[in-house]
Amino acid sequence: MIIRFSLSEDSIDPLALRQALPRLDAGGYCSFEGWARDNNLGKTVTQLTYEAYVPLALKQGEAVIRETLGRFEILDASACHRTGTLSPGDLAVWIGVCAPHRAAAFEACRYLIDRIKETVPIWKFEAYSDGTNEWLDPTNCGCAKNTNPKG
Amino acid sequence: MKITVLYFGQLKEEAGTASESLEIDASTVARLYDQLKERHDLTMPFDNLRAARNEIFCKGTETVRPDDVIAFMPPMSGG
Repeated sequence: MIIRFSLSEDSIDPLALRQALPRLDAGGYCSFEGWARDNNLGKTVTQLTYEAYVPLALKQGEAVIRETLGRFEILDASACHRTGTLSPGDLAVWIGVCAPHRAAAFEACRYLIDRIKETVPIWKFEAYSDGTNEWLDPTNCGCAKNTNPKG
Repeated sequence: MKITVLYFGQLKEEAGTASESLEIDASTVARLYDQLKERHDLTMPFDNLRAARNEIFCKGTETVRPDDVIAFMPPMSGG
């Protein structure tokens, strides 16, 4: 079985992940990197922790990649999500998609990150410079499905 | 029957544990959650959560069986 979705307790190496994707029948590659941001809703974020329900996250991650492969004219896709403690600037999630043509690669890349955020059991805990911390609930902050082009 | 319950994220915080073994009577996943909600003063209603039975997403109407591992999960916030 080909493994396309992974979780990593250590830093993600996007070049290593990218090297597994290219194919001679692909005309383009599109990637998305989600980074740990140093601010959220007006607060300064000092540290983030991602917790996953590992066995289900791995299954669901594979399922959404299979779903994406069936939905778009793409050749392959792969994704890796961090777990554990991250500092602002760290790579939190990486996605790569290759396709015969660029339009499908862009669309599939966007679709895949949205599906991962919505359905893969991973949770973000943020610690702030004011000493407070919280588990994020995307259904509370209006950021569950961010359609704001500035978001 | 004996089962194991897993909590994640905010729910883990509120329950004060990541997992617990319980002895329960026959139940559905949603009814089980409602009992645990009362016991641990959990703030989230079942409708806001996702549940899994033995590492497969399930509905609240699903029957809990002996030795099941039932996971209760707040809205995902990865990415």
